[in-house]
Amino acid sequence: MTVKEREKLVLSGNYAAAYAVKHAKVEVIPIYPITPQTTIVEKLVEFVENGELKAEIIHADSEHSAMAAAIGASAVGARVYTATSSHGLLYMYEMIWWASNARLPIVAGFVTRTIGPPWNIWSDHNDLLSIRDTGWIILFASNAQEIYDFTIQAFKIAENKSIRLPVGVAWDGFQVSHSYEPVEVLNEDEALDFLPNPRDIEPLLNIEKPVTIGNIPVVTDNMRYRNDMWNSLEKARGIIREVFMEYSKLTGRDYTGLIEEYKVLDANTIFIAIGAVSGDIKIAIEELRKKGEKVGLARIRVLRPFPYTDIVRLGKIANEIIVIDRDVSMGFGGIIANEIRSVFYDHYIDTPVYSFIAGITGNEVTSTDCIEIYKLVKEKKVKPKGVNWYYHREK
Amino acid sequence: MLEIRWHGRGGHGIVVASHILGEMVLTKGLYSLSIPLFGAERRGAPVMVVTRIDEKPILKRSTETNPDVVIITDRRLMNMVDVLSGLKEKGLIVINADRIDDELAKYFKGFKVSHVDAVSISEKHGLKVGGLPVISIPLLGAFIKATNIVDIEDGMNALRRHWGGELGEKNAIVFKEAYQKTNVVDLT
Repeated sequence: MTVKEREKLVLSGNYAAAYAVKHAKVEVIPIYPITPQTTIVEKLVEFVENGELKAEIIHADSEHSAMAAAIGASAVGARVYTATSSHGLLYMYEMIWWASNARLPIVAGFVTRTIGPPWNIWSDHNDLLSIRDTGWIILFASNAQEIYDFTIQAFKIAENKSIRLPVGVAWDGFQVSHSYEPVEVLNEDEALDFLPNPRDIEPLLNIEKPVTIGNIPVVTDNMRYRNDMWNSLEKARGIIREVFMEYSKLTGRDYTGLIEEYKVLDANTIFIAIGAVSGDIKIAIEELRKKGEKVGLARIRVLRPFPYTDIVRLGKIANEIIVIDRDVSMGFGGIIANEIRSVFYDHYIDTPVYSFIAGITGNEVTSTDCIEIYKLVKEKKVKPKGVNWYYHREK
Repeated sequence: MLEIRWHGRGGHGIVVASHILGEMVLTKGLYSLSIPLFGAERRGAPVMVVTRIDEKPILKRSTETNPDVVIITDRRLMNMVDVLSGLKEKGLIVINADRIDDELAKYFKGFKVSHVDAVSISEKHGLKVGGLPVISIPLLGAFIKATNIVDIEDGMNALRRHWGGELGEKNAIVFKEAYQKTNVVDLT
């Protein structure tokens, strides 16, 4: 088979998502605009208007209605996509639970943005992390290429019969969503060959097999539904790895792990982070390695289901872990740091975890900041418990 | 890595121009990343974009800059924003100006300046958005003149591809004319 050369386009992160949705031949797209998500659905409307994508756009009256429409369309077996950010996600929150509890394979883009007040359109991750307990599978991208790739793969993961759960693909507002960079896109036939046929989705609502859903159940049955969802998420790790491997073979891009590992194998200190900040951490690692410091980075790509075994392995490699949380659980601490501490406790790993709250409310985290954070740890100016609030320092 | 910081006003088209610059350098196999630094609804207000160009993928997404080049669409921005902040020694300034008068010469001392009357070129060819002449595309011509990062023909083709049809041709013509009329002055 001769492969047609793939197109390389300069796209913003949001446009990369829109191209993936187009190439996945999504059928229903309920939308409601909010910065910094809006340019995704603007692009999708453009694709539909000029005939490049045959999808039904539903202009909803709110994010709550947009997700409700997504639920309806997915329940009859359509391939569905929507996207939102921040306050939009919070307004959608009730329906987010509805989508996962009803086991609907919806795919959504979540462009992270600080929650107000005060009004703030810049990135932090607290909006996204509010859905971490809902049963949605959550992938977190760090650049436009990964947004395209994750969004394509998300449909294959969501529609897998052993999973059948909604998948959210997240990325940082502006730093990634509005930044333009080269993206290699699949040929449309390649994307379709890679993805399952949406007609293989067994519809929740089927006129041939009428059922009642959402009615009051026997409570033990209800608990079984939750348990079943838990089991599917446990299985999802393996299935996500398989999808990633298949996609890596197709594209030559490395999606071999739930975590991207950068120079961790000989590392004494491992940074753990998600999203855009990972690029600046890599620059800091290069600087530190020039001075003989053995530092690495583990960037979590799959937040739910949480990559336990990878985290355990990293805990065994490193002498210490530094977590940069672009979020905070008020009254508890850095969400990612505490999840890592919990995994370590479960596996009798006593590697210290230094937790830094940095880059929230749209603040910068530069490579200089990362080196400064590393120094604070090395010079024992901070403790591996509780949290450290780190403010960006101007050069 | 080449770092470029664009200073404009909402509506001047610096985001679009930075996007097109990415497409131009992609024809040379170069990586680019353009990060816009503004919020919503900013027509007329000062806005910024940081473009980074390199032979390898660009990791830096933080927005602190030490640019090699600053591009300025409106000299009056200099009263509101420190447009030269962090600009490298003997760095390049690209500005929408028909001439470098005493005030600009004093301000830009120590740098290389590439200037062109962007407004009149866009006016002449009727390249307007919302009734206002496009400033960023002629400045892209002035930038290419001073840096030669791509050939003028490759640049024109990128513009034709980006817009398509008549609009693509008009952009390409404005870009070329600006390239030809650009003056590069060495104030180092």
